[in-house]
Amino acid sequence: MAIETFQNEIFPDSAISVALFESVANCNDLKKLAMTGELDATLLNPSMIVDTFQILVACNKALHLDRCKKRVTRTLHSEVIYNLSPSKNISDAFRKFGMGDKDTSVLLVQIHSLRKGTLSEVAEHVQGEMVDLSRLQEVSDVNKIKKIYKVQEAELRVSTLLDAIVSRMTSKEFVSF
Amino acid sequence: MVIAIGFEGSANKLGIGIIKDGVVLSNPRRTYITPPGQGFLPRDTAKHHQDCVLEVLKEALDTAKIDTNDIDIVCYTKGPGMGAPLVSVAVVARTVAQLWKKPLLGVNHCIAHIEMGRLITGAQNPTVLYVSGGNTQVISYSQRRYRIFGETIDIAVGNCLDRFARVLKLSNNPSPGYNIEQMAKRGKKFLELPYVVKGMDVSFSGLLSFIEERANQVLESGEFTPEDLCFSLQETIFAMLIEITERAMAHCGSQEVLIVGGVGCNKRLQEMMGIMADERGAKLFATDERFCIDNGAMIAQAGSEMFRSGQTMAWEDTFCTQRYRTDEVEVTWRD
Amino acid sequence: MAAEGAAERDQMVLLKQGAEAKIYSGTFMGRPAIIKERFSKAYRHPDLDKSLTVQRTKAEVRSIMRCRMIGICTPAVYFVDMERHRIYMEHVAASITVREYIADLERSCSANHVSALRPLAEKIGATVGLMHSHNVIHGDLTTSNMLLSRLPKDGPDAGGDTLDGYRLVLIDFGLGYKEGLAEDKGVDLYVLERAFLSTHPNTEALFSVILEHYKLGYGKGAADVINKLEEIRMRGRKRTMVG
Repeated sequence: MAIETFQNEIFPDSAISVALFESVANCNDLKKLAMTGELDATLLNPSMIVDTFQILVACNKALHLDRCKKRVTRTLHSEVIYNLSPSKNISDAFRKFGMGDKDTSVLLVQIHSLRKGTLSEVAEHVQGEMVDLSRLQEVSDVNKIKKIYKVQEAELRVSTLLDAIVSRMTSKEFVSF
Repeated sequence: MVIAIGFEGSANKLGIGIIKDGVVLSNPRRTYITPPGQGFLPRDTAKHHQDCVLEVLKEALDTAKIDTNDIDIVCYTKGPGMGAPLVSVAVVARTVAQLWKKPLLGVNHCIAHIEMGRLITGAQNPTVLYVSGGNTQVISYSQRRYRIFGETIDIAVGNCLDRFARVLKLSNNPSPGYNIEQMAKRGKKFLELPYVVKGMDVSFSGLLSFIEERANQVLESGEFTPEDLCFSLQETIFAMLIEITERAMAHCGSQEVLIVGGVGCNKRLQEMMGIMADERGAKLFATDERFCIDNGAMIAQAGSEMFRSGQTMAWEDTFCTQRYRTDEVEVTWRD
Repeated sequence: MAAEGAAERDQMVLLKQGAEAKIYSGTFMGRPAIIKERFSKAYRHPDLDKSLTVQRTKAEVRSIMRCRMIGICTPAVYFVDMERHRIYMEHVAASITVREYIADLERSCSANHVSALRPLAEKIGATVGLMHSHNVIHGDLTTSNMLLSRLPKDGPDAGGDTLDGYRLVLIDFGLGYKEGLAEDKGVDLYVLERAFLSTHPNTEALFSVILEHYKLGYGKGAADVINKLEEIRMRGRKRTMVG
């Protein structure tokens, strides 16, 4: 039940911290805080996440675009949400992958410098129970995920769902789904 | 010691050359040049060859200072090439072979280019880019055959250049390709053209159609000059050729590249190939216009190699053929 | 040199340098990854060079996606860096190229190797047929651009579409594109045929097996492509010089 931190070989001066919360009572407030920019984190809907790697792929792309000044959305946080989506429609991405104000669970993600992450401070705003990231396997809605990412049986015969998802996230600029 | 005489006339060049043990004793040539905007047709080309062949033959013999008795083998271009011109020259070769009572050998035009290139440059076992008005092939020797690794799937690169020269109405003297090369040197602006590489092969017909369709429009608008178009065409088609050559070299693990054929005279092509070769630590070999362009000595050289390795040709087989693949010939003189 | 320093900093190990790309082995977020980096070719005009590099990187990613969606095994794509023209993709586990596989088999059982290769040829044919039936053109079909990957015994990859415990994986789609015309599919097959026969001499019988199963994998419309292939084969022999 701790915040997990992951390193990025491509940006060795940075790291990504992730924490999963259930039984959250104040998603509504969290949403408002996120909108005003007071929360230094991305708030995600955990049911759309099949594995932590999916988050890492989105974060890496966000950081890359941020560093070469080619971000599509306004902030690094919103960029992470956008990158999870297989579509180029920004508001659709927020709707599907961002935490909803009526939700009861949330995934907190923060891209930070290697030396110092402040996700624990952000976590203090969450009125809920921090659980193990392994709970993701249980809370992800596989059928909904397959539908949104448009993954069909033909592909699953030659690939894992996770690989199908991240490939779409990575290539959406070049192909439509 | 072998003295060979070679007769070449598969396209618009008529050449007769004499080689003695790898030394070129004479190599005169005449080119049939048509007015700007026109290509050369088989019948007129054959007539050109007929009209000058005896004069060129005399020049070859006189310059070489040899007696026809000393000749060991008479060689001629069996193919590939244009029918009427090929035959007009073959007839002369057959006649002199009978007159002088010497054996006759029909030579593959592409292989002649390769063998001449190897002789002149000393390249041991290069990947060969053979580029001319009628041929575009990447060739590598393996197990007694010159194998074709990559080629054009439609028109030859020289043909593409020649036809573009017609659109611009450039002079055909000394050759359309040469004039495009000179214009290209003054070109500065790059027009993006269709670049088509498929595996180890290239395709030029799409590029040619594209530039034929747009040339007048683009020139009239003032956006590009004819020099710019020549420049853009060369940069694109040569890059395509270098790419497939490099792929073949990577595939074969080759450290040598040899350019042969008329388009091989182009200094820009040589320059670009040299850059590619340098980057790979490979060596570039190229010849000058005496040997790049179709000539008689190359026929003599290839024929000489065939003869020395024991090849003979029955009279019935000394015909001409428009289509003659490089890999059809058994290369008996290499192991 | 700067490029080597960059690779070392990124903890990548150069595996292979092709004509237009360097292949590195490394990790991406802890997962084993292959990094394909296209580099500039000094002989090309800079505009052409930039255009080709970008085009081919995009074409590769697009084609990988299109193949996966129709059930053809390709590496997963983790990250595309358009600034450095790099594709970070799945390192396909325990794999060898079909080229190496054929060569190994030839060495170990020279008499019978053609019949031993039949199942592989069938698989190649069926896979290319399936790909073409969806109008996906590979552009550079060679036995070096096909991998055989040993499947894990369990997990989501087990079973499924296999060939004796191996899965056929297509790679190297830089020249790929989408096209419905029989001509383009015919050329794709022609490139494979030439590459196959020049790399593995005396395997004409195997290539016939590939074509047989190509028809099965493709379904209706395959005949047009095979006819085109025949036409393309003749072109080399029919080429006449035009003045």
